[in-house]
Amino acid sequence: MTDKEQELWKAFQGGSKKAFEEILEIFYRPMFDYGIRFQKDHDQLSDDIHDLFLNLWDRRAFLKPVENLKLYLFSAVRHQVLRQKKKTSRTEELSDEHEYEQHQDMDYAEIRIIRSELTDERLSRINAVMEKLSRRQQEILHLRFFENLSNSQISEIMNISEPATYNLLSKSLKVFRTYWNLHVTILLFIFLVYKFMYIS
Amino acid sequence: MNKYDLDYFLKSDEFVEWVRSGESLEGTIWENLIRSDPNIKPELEQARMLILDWNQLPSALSENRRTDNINRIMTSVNEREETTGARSVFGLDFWIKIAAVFLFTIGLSWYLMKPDKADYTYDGLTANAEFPLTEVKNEQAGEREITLPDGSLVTLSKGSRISYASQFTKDSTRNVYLEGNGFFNVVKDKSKPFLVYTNGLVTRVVGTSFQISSDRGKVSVVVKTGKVAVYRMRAFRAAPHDDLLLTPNQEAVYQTEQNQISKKLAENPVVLQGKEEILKFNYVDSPVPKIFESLENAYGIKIDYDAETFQNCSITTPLSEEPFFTKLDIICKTIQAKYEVADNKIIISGKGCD
Repeated sequence: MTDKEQELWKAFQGGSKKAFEEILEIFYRPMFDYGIRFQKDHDQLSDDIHDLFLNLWDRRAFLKPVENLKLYLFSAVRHQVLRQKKKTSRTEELSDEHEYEQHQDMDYAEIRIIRSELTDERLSRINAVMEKLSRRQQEILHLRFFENLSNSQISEIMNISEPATYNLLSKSLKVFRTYWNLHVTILLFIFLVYKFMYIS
Repeated sequence: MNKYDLDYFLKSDEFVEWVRSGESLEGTIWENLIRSDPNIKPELEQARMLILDWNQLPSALSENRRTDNINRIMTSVNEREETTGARSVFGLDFWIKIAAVFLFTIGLSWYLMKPDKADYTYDGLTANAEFPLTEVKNEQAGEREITLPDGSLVTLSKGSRISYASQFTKDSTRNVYLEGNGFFNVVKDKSKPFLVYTNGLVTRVVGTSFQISSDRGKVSVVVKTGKVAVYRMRAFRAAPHDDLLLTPNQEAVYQTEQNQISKKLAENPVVLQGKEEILKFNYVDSPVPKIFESLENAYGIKIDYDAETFQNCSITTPLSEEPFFTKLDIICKTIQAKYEVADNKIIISGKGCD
């Protein structure tokens, strides 16, 4: 945790609203982008993060010392979202084996990808493939490749052992690779069809 | 099925690290990999692009929404403060409770602190030292080498400092107080143990070389040559023989707050002094048990494996300058095994080769 973060946290614990707001400024967006991986409902996620921060504010004097603020806040988001989900849903949470996101059908947006700028195309492709993975798989890939966290940090946030983290990563990457290669093939196919239609 | 596919690279911490470092392909194991099979290059390139692109994924949150959400939270916090404020600031009840908690905390800490008033920080120890000390602080940009009165060498990192008695002869031990990080090369003297005090941990040697890295929360000791003993200052008073012995390529991590020491394998084990020759041999069709044996001797790290299972395995990949764990990676991937670091040794598991 950087010195600045430590100062802010201490000030916040002491009751400084300014420090609290500063923490929000720094971490809100990363927390949201992380949470969206497993809570697709933007409004629900906003509510969850709101409740989480109010909770932190209320308990500020009694919080345990924090070693890494980002990991702490990420764990908190995860915890809050899952708790909220349990409350609102009566059906059992599907395990990884059976959890399937609805397959995004190739729609016109994807055809537009072909025409847009090269980097945007690549980024959209990553997102499109990510959407096909289960939430847990999306979560771990986000933590590793977007947040650049280490295996031990990820295992801390997701509250699983390090070997389990490695296995989940391994599996997630395998699935990612499968959809990635498939995506490239389909994209190429659409591109050719599009070209063909345009010509004729 | 090509095993060097996209997820092989994305899974590898070393690969991800290399991509993020921005260093060229030259001289890396990835270059060797491409040379050995040029078909690997497109997958490697794809993986590299993915890793770099991923960091640039656009956010799911618009700036407007972000500001709105933050404002909503701050508004709620302000509302909270108004209601509780009106209630508590003027209530006597509230202040009585606060005073009670305060007094109790004072009493409790006095009680807890009584038997043990010692201050184990750098400043505390140097202030209470018996003999006049010389202090050296490294304020320059890089590392700084200091020679101690007995000829021992300390390489201090930037911002670190040490204190020691101007003459080591007066005391029965050679005492050094360290704040920060330093690599020690200690001259052997069996009659006068060399002790380094860092944040509540004592490192004791007779004549060896080791690295100590410390910050407010923890101390890490990694041994390069010789044997090192570490023990806690606080426990020392209760049980004089609290030593934890470390051998080369072992690391002790001391957590200041919990007052706990744990021992593990060094993160990047190095070939032991004098054992460099062990790893230089012709790897053509080398039986894997022999390679494990050589690694054990060269690094001083125990490797557990079932000799029967792996007796038919052999590899032809030359292993030279790679880090220890990369070598293990390569061997294990070749024989389709995996390794686990447990306690202070490596455990290899796999089906073997046919």
